[in-house]
Amino acid sequence: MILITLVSFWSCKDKCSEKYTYTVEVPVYLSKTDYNKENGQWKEPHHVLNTGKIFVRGQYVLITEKGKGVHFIDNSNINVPKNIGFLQVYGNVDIAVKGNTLYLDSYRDLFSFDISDITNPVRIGKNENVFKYRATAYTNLTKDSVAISFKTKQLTITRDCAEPYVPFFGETTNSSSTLASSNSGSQNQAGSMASFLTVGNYLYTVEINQMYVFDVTDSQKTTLVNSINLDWGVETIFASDGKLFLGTRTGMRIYSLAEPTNPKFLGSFEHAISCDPVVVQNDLAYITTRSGNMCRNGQNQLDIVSIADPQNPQLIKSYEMQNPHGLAVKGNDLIVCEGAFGFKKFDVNDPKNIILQKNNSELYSFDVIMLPNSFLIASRNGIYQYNYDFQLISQISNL
Amino acid sequence: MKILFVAVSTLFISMQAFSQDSLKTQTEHKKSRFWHNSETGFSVGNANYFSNGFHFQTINGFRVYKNAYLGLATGLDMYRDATLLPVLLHARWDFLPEKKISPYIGVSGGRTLGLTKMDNIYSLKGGFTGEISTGFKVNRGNGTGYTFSLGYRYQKFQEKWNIGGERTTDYGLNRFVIRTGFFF
Repeated sequence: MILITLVSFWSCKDKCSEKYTYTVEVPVYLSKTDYNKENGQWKEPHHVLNTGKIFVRGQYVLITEKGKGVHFIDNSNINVPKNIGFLQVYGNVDIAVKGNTLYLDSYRDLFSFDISDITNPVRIGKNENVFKYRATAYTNLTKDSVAISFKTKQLTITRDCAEPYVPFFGETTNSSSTLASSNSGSQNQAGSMASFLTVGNYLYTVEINQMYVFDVTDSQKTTLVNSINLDWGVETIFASDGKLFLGTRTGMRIYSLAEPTNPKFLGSFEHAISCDPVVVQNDLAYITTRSGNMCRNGQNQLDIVSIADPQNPQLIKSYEMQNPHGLAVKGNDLIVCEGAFGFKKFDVNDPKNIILQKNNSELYSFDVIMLPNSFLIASRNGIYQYNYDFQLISQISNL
Repeated sequence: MKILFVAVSTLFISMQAFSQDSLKTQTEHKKSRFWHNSETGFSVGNANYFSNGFHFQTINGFRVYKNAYLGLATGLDMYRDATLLPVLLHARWDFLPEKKISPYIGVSGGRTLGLTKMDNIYSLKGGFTGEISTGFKVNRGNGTGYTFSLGYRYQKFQEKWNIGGERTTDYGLNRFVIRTGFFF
């Protein structure tokens, strides 16, 4: 009897069931037909939720919302800016403007829009797969649908432990982080953290270790004319006086635009590995380097470098900063964004002895554009407009 | 190996205790009706999800009838990765309480408490535990003696991991418990 009982119980196995609850980013799909129809659509204005690059075109401020498109703001009255619409472009990171043509990326594609009527941008061109290293649009397995956004979802998997474990991985595609662009001396102006830039009849874009040169002479037809290999870690591009200044993780690179379709390397200014936008005024380059995340262990500092001889840039002086990001210079004023530490204005009349004039330690800031009577600060949740006495004039994210 | 050492040591200590004459006489015991039984052994089974383990149990209770005992059982169920503390009600029936060797059957039921915890990453939550057992006791004649038993124990508990999400695993272990010990 006991033996029978033992044998019968021995055949009993342990029971095990598992419940796994976790949070993932799941794609929100749109059919490919609808995706192509929706990508580039002009939409009603809505709140600026996730600030990306900022670009000023005359009275208009263009703000990218990472991966989603561009907000158009009428800033003719700086006290009461007006949100006039949203250009929906999936996978967008950066923008540049030449004349009445807006250039912007959509994942690996380059789009161009006619913005003669700023309230009704019209798509006029598309160059497919020109950017090698940017994120691609995320598609489903059958490739007939494209992810237009991702939403956080809590998933629960219940299984018997005997079943094979098939984990579900939530997919996240963050567009490759690119920074701003600058076009000095025109009505167009970008932040210091730009990666798109138009100079003359050419559009220059940088990503990781590539510089692309597009001929945009004909607004109806954008042509990739050159692709130049660069050292790894290119982040920002700035133009001044017939030269390109590239901010890279290891220093500033200077290229001559004597031959616009084929920029030639002139010289470089090296520093420890860090993140570093650069702006230039006359013979001086202002470079911030910072530590943190992707920026490794760089020093938090501002370097003022003489570029009188672009083949041999010389450090004039370094200034200790807290966590400098984007910056802008105009005349004797230099504004430096300090990330979580706010932003500061310096008098840079004497580059060997710059003087702190104003300091705002409240607002998280990562890029700045200086306008005649105000300046724009890009923060995480929108764009803030201040006068040069550091008084807040308007907050564009709330429009 | 460690478990084996603990088991053997426990058994050795218990036998040492019985090598000395009990201070209480058999008569006194019968008067007191207090009953104690400590046992140690192993829980073994198919172990397809959870290891076999070391088992220790101590029961304290009363003789409620000449053949029947009721008590509260506690102890340790030690598996490779988890330790549980059972708190069970135990009932036992002695078939031949006056004989030198008396077979018995027992039943236990209650809950366990999970003792294993790892910061906020891992926690163990006990659950229902039930057991039926059979065995025999060897009376030494002074109200003390040895017990040998074999039981079938069903034990539920839950592991909770918190790494990149919350993962809870519910186990229902079917185990034989083989043990020996002493009583007084």
